[in-house]
Amino acid sequence: MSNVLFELRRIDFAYDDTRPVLRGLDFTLRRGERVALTGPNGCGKSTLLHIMTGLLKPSSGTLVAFGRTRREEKDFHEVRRRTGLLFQDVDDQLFCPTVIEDVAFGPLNLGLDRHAAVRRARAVLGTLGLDDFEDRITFRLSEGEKRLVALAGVLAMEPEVILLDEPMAGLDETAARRVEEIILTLPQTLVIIAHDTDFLARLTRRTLRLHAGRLREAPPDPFPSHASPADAPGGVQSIRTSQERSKPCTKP
Amino acid sequence: MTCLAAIGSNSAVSRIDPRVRFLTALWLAACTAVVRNPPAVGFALAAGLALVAAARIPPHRVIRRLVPLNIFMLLVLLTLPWTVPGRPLLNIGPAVLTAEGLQRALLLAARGNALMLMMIALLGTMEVTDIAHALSRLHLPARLVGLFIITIRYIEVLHHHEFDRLARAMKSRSFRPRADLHTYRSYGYLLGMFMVRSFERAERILRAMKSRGFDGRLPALEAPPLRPADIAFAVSTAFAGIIMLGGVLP
Amino acid sequence: MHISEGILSAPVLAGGGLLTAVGTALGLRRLTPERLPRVAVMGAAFFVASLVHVPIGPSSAHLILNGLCGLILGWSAFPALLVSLFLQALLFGFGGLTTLGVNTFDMAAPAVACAWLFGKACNNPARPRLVFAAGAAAGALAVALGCLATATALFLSGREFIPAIIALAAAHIPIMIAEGLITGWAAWFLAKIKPELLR
Repeated sequence: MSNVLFELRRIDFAYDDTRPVLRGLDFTLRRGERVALTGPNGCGKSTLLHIMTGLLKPSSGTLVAFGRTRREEKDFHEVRRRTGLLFQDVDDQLFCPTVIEDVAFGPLNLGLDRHAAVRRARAVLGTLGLDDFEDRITFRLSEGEKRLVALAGVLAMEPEVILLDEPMAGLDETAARRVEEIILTLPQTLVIIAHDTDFLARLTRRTLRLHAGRLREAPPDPFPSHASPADAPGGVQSIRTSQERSKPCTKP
Repeated sequence: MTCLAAIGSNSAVSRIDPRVRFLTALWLAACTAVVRNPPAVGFALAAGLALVAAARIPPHRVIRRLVPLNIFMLLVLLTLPWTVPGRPLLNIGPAVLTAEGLQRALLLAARGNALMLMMIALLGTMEVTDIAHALSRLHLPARLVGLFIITIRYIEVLHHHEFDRLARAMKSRSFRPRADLHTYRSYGYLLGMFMVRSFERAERILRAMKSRGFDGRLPALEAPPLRPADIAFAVSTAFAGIIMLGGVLP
Repeated sequence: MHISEGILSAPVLAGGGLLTAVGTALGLRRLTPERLPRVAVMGAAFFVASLVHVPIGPSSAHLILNGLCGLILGWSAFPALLVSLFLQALLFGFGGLTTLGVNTFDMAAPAVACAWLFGKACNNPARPRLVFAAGAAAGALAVALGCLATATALFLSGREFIPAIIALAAAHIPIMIAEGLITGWAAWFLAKIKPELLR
């Protein structure tokens, strides 16, 4: 059991009573897994990630994370320390004036002193190739740069699990490739929401589809993760037909 | 869903014309605020309770809105009985609890609660947009009403889309407010970022409102005529106020 | 800091209402259509901030932010705070309808005073430390002056309120410090990222 990190059972959630989002959802996440989460916009994918980190509380169901049942706000403090969440809208995440402060914010919350937090933030920025970003103003970064800085802020907390909410949304090709390269090298257990199936195929083996408030294992991946989808003629086309191309949803 | 939601009510009170409700709320509040003798305050408290009952507001909603008032009143109830000179009831060392002090403290508490009950019954059941219409029809300065309308619009958007999201993202990075510098600095930045994002969003919202013809004024919808029930309500509250001011009750 | 319904005497309520009416009229005169979003946003922010609880010592208090409000709005703080306090009274039961005038004056007058005292210093994007200091001073002083105005309103309503005033003032000293620091950093942030707001 020790390699099960998250176990969600019969989770119900609704933003308002008339419109349930999750209905009896079950989800198990094991250590070392890389799970892709797909489904139409507004179906509750982001909601699920927020429930996993206790930012939203389900109306019923049980949530076991890192071996313990988590119910109240204080139960989730440890969960959040061990689980990094990259928000869909980066602007939600960046709120400090300078990059270094924003990246050091998480480590400071973990109890590091200022000196150690800044040192760790610098190290993470270094590994992402953002060494000269320290004093840049977060608000004026490009979308791609913002995404990388937000990711640095998550990585600086050295989480065991990382939840990525549409990490490529709104990025141009170059920026998207750079983010993808970084995500491919992450050693952590990952859950990724994305619409780009090529990217998901490269990155993950397990795909779950959220539909009508529940998760279903998607049909077996036609491309093993070591093969590029381009190598399988015809395959790309068949996947593209089923993918969602609409704009990312803006709630919650 | 929103922090601006009115107390839902479908009752005789909530059907009264918003203009009438707003004016009667002002009139009753003004009368209650100046009365000082116990029978009149008792009458005001009874009127407040009667209005809340007539508006059929769930008791827990009423109690929740009375909490801030009564925290303040607690301070008054704890201090006034010792500071108003008069007939001593209790001596603890140099401190003297007087009957007059106790009476005055209770009177203020009753008056405060009476005022709040009236406001909850008459205004708390009105959607903020109805209040805006009422203010506009009562010929308050157009700029003030315009400000009121836009502020409401912004609160709805900014609270949910900007502030909550920033705060939630902070929480996901293990932020837990404490009484320390890190917390205060983080809150300062949070507010700064909230302002910056709010202003940019506010410009867009206003542009969208303007593009649909908003010019700082509410569109002048035809005001519905007052019904006999509205007039009867206005007359009876006017009379209730006069009774209070007279301070004489049979 | 919101004075509740039922406590103040009639002349104090009337006086507060009158002062707020004058302040609001002055503020509205400066409220050109171009400045409308700014003033409304600040009023909205003031309202939202009152929902945020900040730990102070073992307890917590909600933010007041009238200092920041003054720095950004000047005289327009009067109408902005009037609208915001009206909504707070209506929806949360903070303050009240008859005390609206007094409460608005108690918060808006210090806001205007702080704008006058520290506005220039905050309009110095090149010197962030000065902006922080001026912002912190404005944040703290606005709370202190607000507390003083509140105390005056209570005192004028009856001498028997003196112990309550002392308790209230004592409770506001830590709030003053927290509010000062938060306003200082917020001003510092704005000076760095959107200095035109502090102009």
